[in-house]
Amino acid sequence: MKKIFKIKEFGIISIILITYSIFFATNPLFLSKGNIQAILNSVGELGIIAVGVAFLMISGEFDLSVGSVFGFTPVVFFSIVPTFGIIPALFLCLLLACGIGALNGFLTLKINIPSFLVTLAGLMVFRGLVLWITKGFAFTITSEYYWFRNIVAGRNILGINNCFFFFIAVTVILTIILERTAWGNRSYAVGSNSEIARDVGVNVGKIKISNFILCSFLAGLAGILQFMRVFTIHPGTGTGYELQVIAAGVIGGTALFGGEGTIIGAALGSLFILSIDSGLIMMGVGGFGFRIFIGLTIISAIIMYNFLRRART
Amino acid sequence: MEINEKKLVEMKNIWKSYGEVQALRGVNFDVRYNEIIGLVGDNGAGKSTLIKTLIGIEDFSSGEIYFEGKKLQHINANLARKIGIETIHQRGNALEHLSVFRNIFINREIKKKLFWIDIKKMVEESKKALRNIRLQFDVFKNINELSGGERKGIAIARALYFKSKLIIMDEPTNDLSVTEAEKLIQISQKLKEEEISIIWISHNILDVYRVCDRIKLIDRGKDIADYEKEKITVDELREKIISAVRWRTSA
Repeated sequence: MKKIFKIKEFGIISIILITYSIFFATNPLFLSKGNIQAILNSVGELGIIAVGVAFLMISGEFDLSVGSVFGFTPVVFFSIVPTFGIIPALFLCLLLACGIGALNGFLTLKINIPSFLVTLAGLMVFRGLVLWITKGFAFTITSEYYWFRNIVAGRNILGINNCFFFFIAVTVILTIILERTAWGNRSYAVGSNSEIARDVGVNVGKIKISNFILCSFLAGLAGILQFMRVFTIHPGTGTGYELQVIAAGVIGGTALFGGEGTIIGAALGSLFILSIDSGLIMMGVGGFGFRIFIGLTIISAIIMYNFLRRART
Repeated sequence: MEINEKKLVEMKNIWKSYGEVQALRGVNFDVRYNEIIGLVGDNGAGKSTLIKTLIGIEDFSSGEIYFEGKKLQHINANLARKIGIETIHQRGNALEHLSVFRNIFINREIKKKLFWIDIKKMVEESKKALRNIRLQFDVFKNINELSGGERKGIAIARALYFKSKLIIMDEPTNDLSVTEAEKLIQISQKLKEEEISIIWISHNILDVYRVCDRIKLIDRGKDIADYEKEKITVDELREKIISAVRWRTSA
């Protein structure tokens, strides 16, 4: 039994199995091909942000600006494509997202402002910029984007769009980085205790700033992917995502103050969050129950992880 | 093993202040090869500050530090480890959420190709490093599953594996059971046989007297005295520390 508890994703797998069983028992259509396709088609972008945020949280920092960066990057992308062309604009926007991450990291690590406050400010600034640039209107992609759209967000395999496969690829790559590279090892170390990590010679600033950059980069990438997938970008796109992705990480076993968690756990956490909406509607509860359910799940997950931690030791 | 009179560490006239407070006032301190030196003094004497300047956690205002005869210019925690100084801090050196083998190799991971770390080799080498100090436990265990003594053992295993020349132990027996403290003292003697010098910082005079070859007393940031163990009894040592404090409080 202790061995099963040691599986890091045991908690989130149990949560998914239990909730899926309840949804299926209430309405068997929950596990129908169409519904599974719908869930997988919508999980990609949230999942990409969630795994990036989980990576950062493991190293002991927060990023509340991801939802705004997610909305801001495609707006900039749309604005600069006519000047630069699609591919250069894509690179410039991803570079911009990396710059935002670097700035978050710099203010947190070098100016010593808690990341919670730095990224809270970022959340407001970038959302404000979105509203300023768009003047509150939505943008829709035009035919010149279609070839690019078909590559990044077309439905090529089993009726599932490519964003989902991007999400899987990002999950695999980040899992390998976290578990099999010095960067990952040191990310766990600085999240576990940054003072001790510094004592043993880890460059805490370098590791954490890299993780801020990674996190913002993935938020920007996800924003452009969603823009391509749904054709439209609204000024409010991504609002509230910051909390949903933190919830996905926590439900997936990421410790709020760092040192613990897995990328697969956060990926499954985002799959869980995306499934809840559809499951509740099929149960007849309606979308309004979503937040209540997520809130209760977060509390239950934390209680369960505390129990698992004790059981392991 | 004979103590080599040559100096492994030499700190000359070290001054350090925190704003208005003078933490170190021209301290001279040295460590010889194959020696266990005790660093004693009351709370606030400057023991930890002196050590922090040696390993680069704190800057010092003036003075010179030599390691194996070479002057250290810009020392930091990473460089200290590279030149062979391992510190076991009072607050602990082990990262709670990491497994034993990841702790042993933190920041010095064994690499395969490009960026990849060689987990298999790190696991094997960790087992070897622990066996070397007669410790045997699952290297996949997280640190928070281990006792205080086992955690200290990991830091020592790490120091031995990476061929450290000096281990600094800050209050090493503080959170240990009697048996674990005894084991640590034995391990320290073994380290000396392996030609590793130790700075043993402690309030526990009995432990210090038992384990150390030489004892340095500092108080209020000044070095007060330097005793070869054979030239002082434990009671005299205790009296010296108390009288230093008494002199300070009466002054």
